Amino acid sequence: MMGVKLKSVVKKEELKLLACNLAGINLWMFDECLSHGNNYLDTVSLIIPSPKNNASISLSNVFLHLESMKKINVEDRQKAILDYWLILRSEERIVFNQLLCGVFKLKISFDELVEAFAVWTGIEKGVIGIRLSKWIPTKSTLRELRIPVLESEKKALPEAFIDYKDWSVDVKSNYVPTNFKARWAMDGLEIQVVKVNDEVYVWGLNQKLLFNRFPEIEGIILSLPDNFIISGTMVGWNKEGADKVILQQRESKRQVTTKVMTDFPIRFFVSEFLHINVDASDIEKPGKLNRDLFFKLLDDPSSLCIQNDTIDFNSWDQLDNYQNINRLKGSLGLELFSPNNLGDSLIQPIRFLKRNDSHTLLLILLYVKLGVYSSDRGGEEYTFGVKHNAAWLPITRVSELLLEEDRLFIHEFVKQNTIEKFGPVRNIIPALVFEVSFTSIFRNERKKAGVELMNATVNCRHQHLSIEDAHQLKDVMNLFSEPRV
Amino acid sequence: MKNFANLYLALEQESRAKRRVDTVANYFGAVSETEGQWSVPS
Repeated sequence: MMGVKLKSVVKKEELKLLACNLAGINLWMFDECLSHGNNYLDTVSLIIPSPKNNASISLSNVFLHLESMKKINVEDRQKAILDYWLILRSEERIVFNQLLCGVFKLKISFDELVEAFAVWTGIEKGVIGIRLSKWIPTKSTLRELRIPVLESEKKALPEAFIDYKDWSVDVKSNYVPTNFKARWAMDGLEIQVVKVNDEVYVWGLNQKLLFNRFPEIEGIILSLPDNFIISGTMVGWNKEGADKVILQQRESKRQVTTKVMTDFPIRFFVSEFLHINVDASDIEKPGKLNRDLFFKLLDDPSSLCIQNDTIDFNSWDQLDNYQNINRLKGSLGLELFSPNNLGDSLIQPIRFLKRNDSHTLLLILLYVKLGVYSSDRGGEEYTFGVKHNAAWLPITRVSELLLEEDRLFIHEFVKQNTIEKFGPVRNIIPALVFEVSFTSIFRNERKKAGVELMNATVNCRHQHLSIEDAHQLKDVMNLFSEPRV
Repeated sequence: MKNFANLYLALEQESRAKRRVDTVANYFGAVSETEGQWSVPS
């Protein structure tokens, strides 16, 4: 369940011979089964004659036996396998044969496993995550997962993540600017890193333990003193700055290897530093770890951790100007927070997100993914693109349209103007022009266009414009020369 | 082994996250009766 593979005991070819002998069928018939697309080991499992008498065998005994099978000679091993086949049920053989060949994999993620344990034990997810991250298959027992929560585990849990409130004109009139501080809100993964008991825990939202996802950051934090939490945003990184596409590509990798770390680099924008269980009067003493000292101690020649500094301002207009002129690549906008509340868990700090201005392009609707039912908006997706020479290239996808009339129009249009179907996706005739807003643009070599628009929203359809009026790929590429994008 | 094989097949066929989690939680409930033998002896 933890994704650790067992070493193989036999080769699958050996099982094939054994199964064909037992079933009395020729090898060519077996190969014929395979040529129809059947799985090799499933075929082995299914051609074996039904068991004569089912016996209840415990999984732990099977594991024990698999270990010992590696050490015995071929004849004894084959006899042991035959003995198992004669008592195991059909579904048990499928698992058993995969275990024998060292290819068994349970289709479950670490998060699902944590969630399932939390449901079953009633213990909060974070604690289960901590326990599973230390799980040693040959030593740990189920009982250890169910013991009451320890003090040391409570210390390792993250603080509550505080959601952004949307910035609006009301905020300007209701709040005094000098009560707030601002810093850039990056478009990435919000995390908290806890350093306690000589261990580092990286947490995402909802107590999701990001176990072994950012080993380069964990390595840096591990060398620092205990008992603190830092919060911030993890972003993907290219030579131009933060890059959402790189982060998404990295998140899709099952394991973070050295190659993944090199190919998909990250940076950690550190916003907050909090002590755990430290007397407030102690913090001010010389030599005690605080935010400033933390960054000094953070001997980080690779600059993986970036201090997300606060920005000084005296008026809302000054802040507007700052945001427009100095816009940081890969940022969502500016985060505004009241520093007086920070660090005090009794008062919920206010945290606003003042989004960056968006850009607008005229794009063509290329693909429509329909929901399962005509009323099912949840499953819908609209892909927009641009023309380049004679080709149409997708550059962004949105799952919602602002106007219901546009949605109904598209659904009618799809019925008459579909070129090709790919499952629920319809490739439609390029004819509809839409105004699409977005906050950032990234290069993405995996896309045909080589670029991708992020945080896109559809404003409206321009029914009087033709596809010649829409922007082309060269217009999109020109945006890279604008510093504000 | 029977519980584990059933779990394997259920997870192969189920794609809905909530159902998958419940399936695994139910499996833990079923095997906890034999939990003394649950870990793999080294």
